[in-house]
Amino acid sequence: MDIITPLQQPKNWLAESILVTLLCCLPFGIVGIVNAASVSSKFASGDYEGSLRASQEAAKWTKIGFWVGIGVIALYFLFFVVLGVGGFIAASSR
Amino acid sequence: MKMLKTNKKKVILILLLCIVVACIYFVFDPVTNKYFPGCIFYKLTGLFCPGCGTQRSLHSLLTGNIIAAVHANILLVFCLPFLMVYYAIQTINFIRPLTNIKINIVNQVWFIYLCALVVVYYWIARNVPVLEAGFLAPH
Repeated sequence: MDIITPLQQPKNWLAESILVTLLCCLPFGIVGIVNAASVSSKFASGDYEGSLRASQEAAKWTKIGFWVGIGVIALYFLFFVVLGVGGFIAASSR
Repeated sequence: MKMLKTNKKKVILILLLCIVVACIYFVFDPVTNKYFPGCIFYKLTGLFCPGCGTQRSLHSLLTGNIIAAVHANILLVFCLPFLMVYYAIQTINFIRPLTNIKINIVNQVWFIYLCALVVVYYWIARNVPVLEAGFLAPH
């Protein structure tokens, strides 16, 4: 018995893009959503290679958005830690 | 086989991270606590982005105040159940690959464009002042 496995659509990163848009406050999520549309439309028109490329592009932008978001949070935290330590030193040296 | 193992670690890590983040937002209020990051887009432009109010919204949701959560960011409150169902199904598919529940709607082009439109319209609508302050703006 032959089992024909149909080509699966590459991951389109839609949910991840929406999460990045909502959680990271950045326009990169919108780029991700637009790329998600391109993954699906290319796959629907039979352009598997193109949809694979679009999937990688969507993944790239979603990840950029994610890491920039994490970076901002880290910087914010660092800023307050430095401020706190600085304030402590200033207070104790007085 | 090895790939599956690293994926497994990744999934467990992400789940743990979600629990930790939920605990942080349950215990601390982003409004009174200065350690929570603010929105860069808002700081740079003075305009609200689709994600503004998400932290307040999460805290309100976790502490059971749905009305305050809706006031902070209605899009998040609306999207969160769908995202949770989506990721729950993905997790089930991952744990038991034989079930392989398909969610076809996320692959529909019209649906993706609808999502993009909703986000962009929400972005614009938040910054349009109706009755003094924008009615969708976080407050």
